[in-house]
Amino acid sequence: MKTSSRNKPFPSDSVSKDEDNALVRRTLKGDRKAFEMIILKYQQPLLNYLGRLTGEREQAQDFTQEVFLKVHSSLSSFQPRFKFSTWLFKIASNFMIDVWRKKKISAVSLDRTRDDGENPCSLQVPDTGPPVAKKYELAQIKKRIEGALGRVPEELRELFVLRHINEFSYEEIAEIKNLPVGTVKNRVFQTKEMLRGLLEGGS
Amino acid sequence: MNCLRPADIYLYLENELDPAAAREADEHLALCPGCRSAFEERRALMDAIAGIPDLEVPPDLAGKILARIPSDRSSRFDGLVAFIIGLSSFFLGSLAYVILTGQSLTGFLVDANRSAWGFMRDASLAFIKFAKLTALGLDLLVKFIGEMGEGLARFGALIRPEVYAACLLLLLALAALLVAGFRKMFLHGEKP
Repeated sequence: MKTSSRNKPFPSDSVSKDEDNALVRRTLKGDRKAFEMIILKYQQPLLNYLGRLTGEREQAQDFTQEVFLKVHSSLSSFQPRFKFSTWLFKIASNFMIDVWRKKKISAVSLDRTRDDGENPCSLQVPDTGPPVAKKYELAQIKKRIEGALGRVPEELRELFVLRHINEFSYEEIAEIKNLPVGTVKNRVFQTKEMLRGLLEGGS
Repeated sequence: MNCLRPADIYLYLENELDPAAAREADEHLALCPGCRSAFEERRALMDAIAGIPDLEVPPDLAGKILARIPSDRSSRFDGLVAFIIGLSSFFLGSLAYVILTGQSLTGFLVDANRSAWGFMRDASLAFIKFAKLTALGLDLLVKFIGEMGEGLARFGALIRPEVYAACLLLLLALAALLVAGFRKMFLHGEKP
């Protein structure tokens, strides 16, 4: 009884890593075609990430451009021993942190949450009322999840998006965000339970 | 086995549990209706999450990004264009000057040459003088600081430490007053 995973090609193997490194080398030598290939490879996951974080399509497209420009100007600092995709998303994540800071969006305190990963059950939403699966059809749930996601604090939403939209492993997310793996797992879990709570609450 | 924790149900659904724990979870789910219900609930959520669609990428996104990146070739080209434009402007300006003033081209070139050399000679001399003065000033400053340090050390050896400290404090206060006075003078144009 395993869940089906998203059927989306996201680079994650060593072949892709070698390809990425080759494209970076060529770009650094002035090959614009190579950078175009990088853009074409990563524009979809990056737009998904920025779109789910901003909630605005136009803004997400503008931000995607900005992030790629930052990536291009920072390429010389990329170290091939790291994975290009995690490096790129680290830049994107820092970009979003700057955006939130500039907009003075109040950072949601995570002090209330338990990050030690020892007892995540204490944060679970109790199984009360009719289950989500019975209350709504799958298509409805998908639509409602997108709405509910916008109500999740940015910090939690970002980790959720990296995990379940961009399909990074927990270890990769920990590297992108400079967080312990246990913390990432716990926060992603919290987000899913929060989403479930929002859906159960009929919001 | 105890009932499954929600966090473990998610990890199980994501294939993140180790094989032994996953096997135990399988066995438990077959026996426990409560956990099975909780599992189905989370599985529905995970299926829905997996179905969140991609956002549509505009077809010209890559082109827009590349258009904002200056190419090395274009920057070299820009430099060359600027040089050619500068040179052409100089010649056109010279030509216009010669035509308007009625001066002969040879005379103009000789004058221009003389002026350019004169300017370079004057600028070089001014630079050399400035460099010499700066070096002299620095030399004097270093000597002054050295002498002052030595003087203070000798003075300190002659008097008691308390008096020495008091004198130093007095000097510092005087220096602060002087700085404040000069600042006021520069800010308000007043004499100290």
